[in-house]
Amino acid sequence: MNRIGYWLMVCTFVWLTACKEEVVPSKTVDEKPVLFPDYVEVTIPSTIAPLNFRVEAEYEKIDVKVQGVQGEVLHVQERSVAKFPVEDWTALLAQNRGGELKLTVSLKQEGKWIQYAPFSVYVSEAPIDYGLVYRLIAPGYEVYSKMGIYQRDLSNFTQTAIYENTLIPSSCVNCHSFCHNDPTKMSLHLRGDHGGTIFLNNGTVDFLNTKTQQTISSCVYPYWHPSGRFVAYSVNHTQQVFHAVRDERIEVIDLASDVVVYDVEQNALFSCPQLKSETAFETFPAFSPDGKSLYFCSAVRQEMPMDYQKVKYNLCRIAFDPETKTFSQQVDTLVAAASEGKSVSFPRPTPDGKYLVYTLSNYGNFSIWHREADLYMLDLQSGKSRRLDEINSPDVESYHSFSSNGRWMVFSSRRLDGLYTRPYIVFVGEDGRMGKPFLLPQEDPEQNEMSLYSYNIPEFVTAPVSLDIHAVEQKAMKRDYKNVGYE
Amino acid sequence: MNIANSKMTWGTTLVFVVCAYLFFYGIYPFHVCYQEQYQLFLFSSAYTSEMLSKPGGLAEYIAAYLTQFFISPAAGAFILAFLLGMLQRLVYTAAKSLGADDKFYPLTFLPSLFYWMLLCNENYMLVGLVAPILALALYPLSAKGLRLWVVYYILMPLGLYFFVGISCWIWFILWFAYEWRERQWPRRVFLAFAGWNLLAFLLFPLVLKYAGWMYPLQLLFFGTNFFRFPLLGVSSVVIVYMLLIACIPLLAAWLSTKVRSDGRRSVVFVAVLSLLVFGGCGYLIHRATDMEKEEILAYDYYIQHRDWKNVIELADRKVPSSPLSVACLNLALCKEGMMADRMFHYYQNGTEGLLPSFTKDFTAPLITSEIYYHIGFINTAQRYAFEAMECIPNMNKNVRVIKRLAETNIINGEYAVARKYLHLLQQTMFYHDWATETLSLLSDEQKVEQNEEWRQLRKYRTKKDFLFSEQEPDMMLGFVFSQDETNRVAYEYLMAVCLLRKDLKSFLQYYPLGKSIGYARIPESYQEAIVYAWGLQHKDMTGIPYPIDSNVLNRVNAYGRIYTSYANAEPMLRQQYSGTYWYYLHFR
Repeated sequence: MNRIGYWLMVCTFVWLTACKEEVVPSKTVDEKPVLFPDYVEVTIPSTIAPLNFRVEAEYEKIDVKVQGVQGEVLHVQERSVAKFPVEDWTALLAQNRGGELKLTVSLKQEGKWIQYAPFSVYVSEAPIDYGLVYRLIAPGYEVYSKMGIYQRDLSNFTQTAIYENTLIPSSCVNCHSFCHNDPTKMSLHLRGDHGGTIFLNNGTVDFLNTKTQQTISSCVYPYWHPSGRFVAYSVNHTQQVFHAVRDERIEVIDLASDVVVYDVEQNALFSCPQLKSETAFETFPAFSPDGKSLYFCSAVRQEMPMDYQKVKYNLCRIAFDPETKTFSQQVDTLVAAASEGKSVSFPRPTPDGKYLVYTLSNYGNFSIWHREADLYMLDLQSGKSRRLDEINSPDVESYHSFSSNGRWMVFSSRRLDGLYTRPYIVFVGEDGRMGKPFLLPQEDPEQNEMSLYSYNIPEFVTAPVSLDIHAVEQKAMKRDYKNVGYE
Repeated sequence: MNIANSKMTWGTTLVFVVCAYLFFYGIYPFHVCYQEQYQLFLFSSAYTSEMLSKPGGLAEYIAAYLTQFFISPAAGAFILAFLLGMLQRLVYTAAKSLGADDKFYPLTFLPSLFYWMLLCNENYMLVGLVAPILALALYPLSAKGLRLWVVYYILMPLGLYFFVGISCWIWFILWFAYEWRERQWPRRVFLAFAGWNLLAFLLFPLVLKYAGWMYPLQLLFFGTNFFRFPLLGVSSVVIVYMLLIACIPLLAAWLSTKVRSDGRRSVVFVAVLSLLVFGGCGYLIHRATDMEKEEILAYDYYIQHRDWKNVIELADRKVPSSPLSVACLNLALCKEGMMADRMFHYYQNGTEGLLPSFTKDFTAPLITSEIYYHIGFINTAQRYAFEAMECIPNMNKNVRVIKRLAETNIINGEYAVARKYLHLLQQTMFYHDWATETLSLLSDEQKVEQNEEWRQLRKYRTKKDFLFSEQEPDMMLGFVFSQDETNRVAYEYLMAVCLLRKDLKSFLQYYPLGKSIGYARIPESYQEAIVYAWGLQHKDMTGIPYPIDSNVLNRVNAYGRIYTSYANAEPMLRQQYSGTYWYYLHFR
């Protein structure tokens, strides 16, 4: 056989084996298949990456037909994971925006095809932002190995690094934050020997030293004012302690904490006595969408670390005048969680200002290590909170943030294995009702189970983040700080 | 003697390989095993693509693959010896291609001997052999006769840089020298290709850097991590090693044109050169050999494999003195039920030799993790193991830690996350079977309970929560022991903490807790502590409320007489009483 003949034979073989087998079900079952990840009856945006999945069963082949309302069909047949071509999937979603997709799954088991009851995936008309930004880090204790801040294009599987700590050895990054999902305004802390705050503002990168004589630490948890002129930060003196009992691992406690606001134009911090009380711990600031209020968490100061379990944060609000940079004297308690033996963390108002979602746990503020932590929604008009049973799980739900239009929320949960945090996206109705959350799609769903990294602080961005990483490296290595003042 | 005889050269290489094998297997086996655990080689497309997508990735991938076999010291030593021999033969082949005379054959051993010396430091990696070998193996691949030689010479630098990292310079220097000598190409074409290669090797790291690769520029130039501490690996030592590999063939070829000797003088020349090369390098290897570190690694290996008897035998041959070795010995003594009797028969260096403090290091917390694991501090064992893994300077994962995390999570009943670690281990070569077998147990709680170690540790681990405090080991041990008063390991560690701190008050306070352990007689070191404490408050041993052996009573009296009679009693007491608690109390 000559060489051409040989290659023709190989190609023919590959082509033949690549052909889809005709599915003639020998049995149909009324049940819907159990998928991993669970995408049954979820509501998705029309620009989400393919929902690749496998079925939780033993099988030789999987056949999936995805049918749109107008009859168009996307058909895949694979050995283990149903993987949809990105272009075909994107086109199908675009055609069915506002409608639904009907998925019919058949499995080949012991040579025979079994067809499951079809299920729907609803394609919302509400658009979602370009992508997600998150930190990938092993869920460790005090030491960290490789980690970084990454951005993921939600319409496909492309993930790129914004910063990886291989750039500056022994560095750590945390608390990335954007001004209402705007990728051109970002605050990001770099920790370690070359630490500082990377402050991106309309393409300009500054490297801030945010420690002042008047504050107890460098800035920590950020939240941007809608105008982009201010960023509220907490300043925390933290300590880690470790549990001995099986169900719990780590506690991160504040020995002291306050809330300050950074004036971008003046390059200075300011605060008020209500946010720097000697008798309370204040943390997790968040501006209201109209910029006229600041939400924050406040707990009565306790003897630390001895009484760490007595630290219970209430959700508070203080009026803010951005023109005069002044706060009102009055602090309102919106959720008196402490009186019920609970503790609030991560208050995040919806962009329309009608609701606020927060995390509730038994004590403290580091809810990611609290298995009981759940998400709650506060109706800011009625003042009533409800537990978001439609999205909570028996395991941790913690950090959450909204898309720029408020119709999508991403939240971190440890429901898969109890340790490794994964981002879930959920549709949010105008009435505050939420759909069924779905796990961030991955090209190979196994990645969710095999990755040794947790997804921290998932934040939507409206476009890719463009950070001049060489400027960051140079400023950090030279410790070329812009020192922040205090007014 | 005709030293050009290939049998002679192969014979010398063979002797060299055998010597290297005997060294690594016979003298340094625990350094060999040590390497295996500091990586997590997975047979998965994600792992492969991640490894291959960085400069020097192919060499690192091959080295990581081979390092898996270091789980067996014999296999690891063989791989090391074989690669050292292979490197030497490739240097020799390169020298021959440049016209070197065989009488300079001993010089071709220099790079291998140099890296052998570096390998005496456990942080030098196997990739330091694999990358140069790949570069040298590609060197003879001439484009002669290839129709697409232009493509070959244009793509070669890129491929080499991604295959072998900084070792691409070895290829370039030798290729340049060879082509310069052979004049296969028109000189202008040759210089154009040489210029392109030179430019490419210099530009690629810069291009990667400005394309957004998140590494310091010097690391991108080096590509491969020869040293476990990446930035420290970018050192003059590695550059010297690279230069040795690239320049020895050139030197041998140049010397061949300058030094002419025949017959008897040639034999003498080779003998002197061999003596200088092997004698000098042998001396340097001897100096670089760190037997104290080998001892610590041996202790670590044995406690990892729960080979308590070998730990004690090792200590009986040579009394350990470093905190980590002593900590391993104490664990082995405890597991063998000998700690309460015999711990002071060996050198003790305080509580650091019992429960070493946490350090941000990738080795010491692993050993401490083993100790906490066997006491029943499952969460603490898990934390120390995890931290050790996260401390690995080259950001590798640790297969031993992943296995330990699977175990601790099973003991804690956290099966979902245990499954994650077991699925990862299923993608390894040597942990696959264990992981598969363990996974099959998780669906049946009764089968999990049939594992004696897990069942016991589940019984021992604390059910009441408290915050772990390394500074208060007695409190922590007391907590754990109070959960299960049959936990002999916790009790003996609690007693040992008191004894090593010379805190007899606490010792006497906690001692009665041991009733539940059911000792047939009071252990020797406890008897010694009790009689000493009694003696401090009483004139003699009459009325002591514990059944003390007459031998101990006699010895304490004799010890006391010497101690009180001589101003400098230590040398006298050392001879007869260095294995007693009293000696530790007074002189340690």
